[in-house]
Amino acid sequence: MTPEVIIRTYSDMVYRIAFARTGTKADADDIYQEVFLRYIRKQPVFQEEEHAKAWFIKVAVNCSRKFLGSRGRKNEVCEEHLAESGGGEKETVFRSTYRTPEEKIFADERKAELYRGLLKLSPNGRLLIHLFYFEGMKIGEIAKLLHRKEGTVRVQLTRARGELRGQFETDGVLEMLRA
Amino acid sequence: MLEQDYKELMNEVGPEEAMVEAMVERQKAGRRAAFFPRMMKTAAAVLCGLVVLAGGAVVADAATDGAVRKLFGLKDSVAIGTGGVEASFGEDVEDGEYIRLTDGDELNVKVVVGDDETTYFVCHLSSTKTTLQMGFVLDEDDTEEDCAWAIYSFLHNHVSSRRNDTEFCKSLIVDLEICKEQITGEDLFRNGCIMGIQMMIDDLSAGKATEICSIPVLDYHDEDGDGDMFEYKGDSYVVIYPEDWKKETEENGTTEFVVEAQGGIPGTYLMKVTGYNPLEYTYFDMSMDYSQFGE
Repeated sequence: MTPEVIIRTYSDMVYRIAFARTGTKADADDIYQEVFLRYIRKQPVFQEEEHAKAWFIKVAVNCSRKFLGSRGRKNEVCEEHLAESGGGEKETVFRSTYRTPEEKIFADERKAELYRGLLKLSPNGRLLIHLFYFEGMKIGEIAKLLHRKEGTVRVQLTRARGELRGQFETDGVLEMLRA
Repeated sequence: MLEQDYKELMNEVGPEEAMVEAMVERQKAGRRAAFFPRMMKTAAAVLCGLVVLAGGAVVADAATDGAVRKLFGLKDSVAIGTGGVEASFGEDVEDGEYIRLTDGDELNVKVVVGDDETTYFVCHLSSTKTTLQMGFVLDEDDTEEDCAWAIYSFLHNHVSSRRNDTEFCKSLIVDLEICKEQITGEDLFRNGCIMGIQMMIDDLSAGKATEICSIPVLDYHDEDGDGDMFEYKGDSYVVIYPEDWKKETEENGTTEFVVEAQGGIPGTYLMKVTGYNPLEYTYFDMSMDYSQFGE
């Protein structure tokens, strides 16, 4: 793949990891750009697609961690955003045909509920949820990527699920989590 | 269901097309400008190589040698064969470069750049009696604490099987003490490494050794080690901290943790903490009563 194709191929994945970690479009935009600027600067050569995927995931995780750490915003930004986003009552202004991730999510109450619950998790918990459920990575793969023991990842993922479960009151959402 | 709902949620998330296109254009522009910086890097490498061949106590690459020397607190060192290595710790380091630093004992450091932008140092720390290979993964985003734990956990795991080897421990302490004494300043990595090494020295000096199980490699990205696991004879156990464990340990000198078995012998067990690191990193002496496991 040419570098241009690589950028297009992994843009969505990188952006989603950044959004999963930070919870907001603005922060995800910053991290997305940082990741791909690093790619453009370093120009790594990938032997295979799995290699490229792992590289982008790792750099996205590193960039988002640095971003959250440097501004002391481990969960603060998420709490602010949560306060703003409560109940989907925020006025939506469409500047163009592009709808922000938050706007799309809050158009559906079920997704909004899940999103609010995710924002209450730690960035690490959200990352594990994302890598496991969306990227379909196995515990061992996640552990290797993040340089952690499998047992640690397993416990942390279990804890994140448990925290999500503890936040919801409606039976519908609980049913969703029990599955 | 969680999987499906989460996927539906995240499928709504993506970058603006304009941002992606801007990045693609930047990549195209970057390719055209890259040729000239590469030429300069090669010229610098050739120059360094010529200087080394000339002999004498020469620092072939000031930046990286300085960073590595700082890392281990070695002042009077000779760096050999750094060749194309450039920039500071963790950046733009050529894969496979091998640096030999000497300060009494030899400290051989091989620099390996991982494919995920991390820099991996394989360190051969030689004494008159033994050689310790130490490797850890750090990148420019890691903090002081990350560095400390990387070193600590690697050293700890590496020497755990030789805890009762007094001569080995003494030699290791001597080597690390040299590093500790010479490291000064506020450099992030230096401080992190000092902490990691200090923790290791304290552990060995105080004779805190559990020859039975390995100390858990704590995830240094967490604020504490709650939920971390350790293995004992092939079975996994997870540590559950009591809420005020730090205060309790400081006041009483000991704390009892609950340990839940993930496999092997089911149930919960008590583990006593008899040591607490004053640097306030999550560290404890796992003086556990193994008789409760039916030994």
